[in-house]
Amino acid sequence: MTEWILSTENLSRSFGGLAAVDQVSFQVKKDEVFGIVGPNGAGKSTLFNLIAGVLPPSHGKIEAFGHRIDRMPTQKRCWLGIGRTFQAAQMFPTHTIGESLLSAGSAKHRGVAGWLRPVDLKSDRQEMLEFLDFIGLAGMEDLLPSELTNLQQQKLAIGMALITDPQLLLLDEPSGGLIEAEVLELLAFIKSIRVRGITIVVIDHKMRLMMNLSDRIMVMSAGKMIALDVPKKIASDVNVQNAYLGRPAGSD
Amino acid sequence: MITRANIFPTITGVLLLVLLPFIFQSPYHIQILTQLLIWAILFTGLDIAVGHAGLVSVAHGALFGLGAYVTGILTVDVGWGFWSTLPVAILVGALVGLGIGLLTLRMEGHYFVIATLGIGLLITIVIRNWTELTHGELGLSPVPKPISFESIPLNPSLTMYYLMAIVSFVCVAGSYLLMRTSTGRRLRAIRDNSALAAAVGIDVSRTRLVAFLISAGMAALAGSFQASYLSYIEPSIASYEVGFTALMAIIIGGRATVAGPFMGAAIFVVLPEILRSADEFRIITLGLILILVVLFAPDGLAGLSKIAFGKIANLFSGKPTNPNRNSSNVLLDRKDAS
Repeated sequence: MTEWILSTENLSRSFGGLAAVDQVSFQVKKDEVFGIVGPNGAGKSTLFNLIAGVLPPSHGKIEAFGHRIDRMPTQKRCWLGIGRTFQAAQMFPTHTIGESLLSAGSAKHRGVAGWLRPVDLKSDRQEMLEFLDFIGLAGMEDLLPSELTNLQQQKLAIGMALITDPQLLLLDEPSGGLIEAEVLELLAFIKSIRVRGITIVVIDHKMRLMMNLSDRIMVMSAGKMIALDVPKKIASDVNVQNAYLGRPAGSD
Repeated sequence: MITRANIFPTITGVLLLVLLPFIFQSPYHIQILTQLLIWAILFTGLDIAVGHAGLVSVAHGALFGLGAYVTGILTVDVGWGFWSTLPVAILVGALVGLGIGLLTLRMEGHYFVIATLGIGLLITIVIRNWTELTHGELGLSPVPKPISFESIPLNPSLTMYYLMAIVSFVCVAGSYLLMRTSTGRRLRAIRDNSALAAAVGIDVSRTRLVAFLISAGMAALAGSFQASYLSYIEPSIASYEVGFTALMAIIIGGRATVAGPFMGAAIFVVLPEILRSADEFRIITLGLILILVVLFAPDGLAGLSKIAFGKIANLFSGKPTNPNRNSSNVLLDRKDAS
């Protein structure tokens, strides 16, 4: 039996008269990688912000893990098990890499005990080192984010989302600013997250990455969903080719 | 909680507090030192909001005055002893802080500063004009001392000094330990990047509110002792000038540091005494110091001394300095301040 983790129903958001996201309904299955693609201005980022809690929708609803989340504050979505990254990798600029991960994990322990939890617990440090290792930055805990490459920053951003123990990870343009070789490394990295049993929703415009990574791909154009299928069928979908690719899929 | 990194500064600080009256022995100097400690409590409280939570509040002068007036009214007009008024003053300060926080914490940057200025002025106006309660410009006196001096063999000013030394130590230690908890870590994350902080599950508004509430309570506590120290209070104790002075003091002293509030207090207590004969130069001199610090030592005097101590320590240990790390921090702090 398939288990839905995230679903939207007639989700819409308009800015003035412009419908940036228009009646979008889809469901994300547990343990899949769900890709969202579309040309610039298709409404991908708006859709992402609606799910992540940056914007409230104009109409429609979003459910995650059986809860209505479309009016839920950002931090509560995180508590529910939704982790996210940002389009331009967001950092804590004065935190070292190690501190960044510790800060990102600091809200996991809630209640008064969570507020008063000492910062120098060995177990927290151990966990930080494990995540540091997982994101491939072992030994770099004392560097500042500004001293990292784009790929390392992206991995740190994902690491900070992962240390909150999400079941669903939202990745916003993870390949932004990366060169070809780095995209391949990122691809391998994201696949390694899957193995941890985390469902992933990813938005990106690099088609080859998305074709390789996603189990299913949703194509958006002008705020509407125009296709939703496995990558092979998306590549050969005439609508998609006309609306978005304009050339054979996969040529990037 | 005592670690190898903080044991040396702690011992130095405690020794300074204990030994200063032996260096400056006249009652006049000891009174100045006592005033310094009361300011340091106010500045430490304000620094929780400004330095740690990034909430630049000008309302803390009014909260300080509020604490002073709660103690003043309850002792002079109601007849309570000093110590029973202290928790009430802290509570009133914290509650008003909570109110200010609820009204303003959704505002960003400049709007927040203006809003706290407005609310601070409002509190000052109420204190000045609600004469049935506060006696207006006539003021309130005599506010009793916390300790009956007959029972202690020390001279009164020395007793008050050591009491304030203990209270300021407790406040500083409390603030320091709070910052060594998850609350401190979350505050720092919010100050660095509030959108990212919310995304990793930190409740931005509630964390800021808690910090502001504690900060307001500590300002009121300082005000309560100030009322007793002066024994006479009038509305200027709650003026916006106190709020601005406090803000300048922690910028000059150094934000988010333990020593910063004390260094700021030293400047703001000692300098006016030195320049007493030339009052009109006082403001100009303070302004000049502020400009110089902001330009050349954005981490304040505490930041400067840290760099200096670091260099000296490295000279002895032979470790190379890391100029790269220092400069990047300074740059980031400037961005943070803008």
